[in-house]
Amino acid sequence: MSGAGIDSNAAVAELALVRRLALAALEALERERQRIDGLNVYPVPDGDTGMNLVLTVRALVEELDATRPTEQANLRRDFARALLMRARGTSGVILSQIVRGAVEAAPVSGPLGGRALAVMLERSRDAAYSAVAKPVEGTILTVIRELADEARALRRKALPLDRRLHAIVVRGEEALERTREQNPALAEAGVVDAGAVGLLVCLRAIAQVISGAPAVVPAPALRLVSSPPER
Amino acid sequence: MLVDAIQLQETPLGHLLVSSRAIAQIAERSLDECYGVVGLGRGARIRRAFALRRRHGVEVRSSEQGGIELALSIVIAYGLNLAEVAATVRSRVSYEVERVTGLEVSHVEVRIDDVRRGD
Repeated sequence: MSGAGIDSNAAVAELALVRRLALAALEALERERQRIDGLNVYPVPDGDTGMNLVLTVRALVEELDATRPTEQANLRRDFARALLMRARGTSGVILSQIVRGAVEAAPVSGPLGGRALAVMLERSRDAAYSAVAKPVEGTILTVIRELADEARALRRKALPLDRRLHAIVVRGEEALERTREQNPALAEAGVVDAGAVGLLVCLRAIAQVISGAPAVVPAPALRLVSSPPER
Repeated sequence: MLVDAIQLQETPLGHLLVSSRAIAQIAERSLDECYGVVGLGRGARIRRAFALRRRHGVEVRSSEQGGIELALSIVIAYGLNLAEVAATVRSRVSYEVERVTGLEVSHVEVRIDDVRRGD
């Protein structure tokens, strides 16, 4: 293998971990796909949010499989570009922007501390908000903004990564519950935002892999999606 | 024949008309909220002769089948998949215009006027 340098072992390990996290997110989304589809009333009630998110994260896993650990900066840039090209639907495009922001801001080496995680989520939020003229609240945008706020609030606290992620996801679930009132289309249907549920399903699965717990424990976010609207 | 309003209903007491300007306004408002759209274009120049009214990035025409046709001209955030954004724009704008007016949107032409870095 050409280009193997001092950091190649670290790069291989990083890629393997990222792939494991992505796969856990994909499996969790596949389990929740139908419920997420059933929540989809905004921007168009066509019941495809869950499927679009599954297709987008599946593309992400495929891109990771096709990735060889080489020059890290190029790897990250190429990966983020490929993901943006393969994203499906509004929620998939926003999710790929969130991933792009996080990937671009991720520290090149060392453990992921509070400050680094806050910077990653803030870049995710900025990337997500950057591509729309008039952001609508009560959507996946609101939830990524609150996730970034929580990461910033906790950045100086001494917490292990899994507990930090857990606290951030809990804040996200509170924000998710509020989407029910924030967006008139959701209020009318009495549901939370489908794309935001998908984002939290992914993050919960990632947090569970990091804490070593099995990713099958039903999370509060999943209970929120357990009663799809009558159609 | 150029008309600047489209009939929604015909009742014994009179007609209900909606101006193409109002339809363009509805379309424009939903465009602003479409993910990936960072601005409106200067307007489609395609088939201008048939344009009922052009309001910034939105052109409204009456369709021969009785519904309406929209031509949208937009600026999309750099780096996004243009076809994917165009597809979600088409679906969101036609859904919103149909929901508010009750008219059938039979055709939506999307013209990407520019791509721009949002951040």
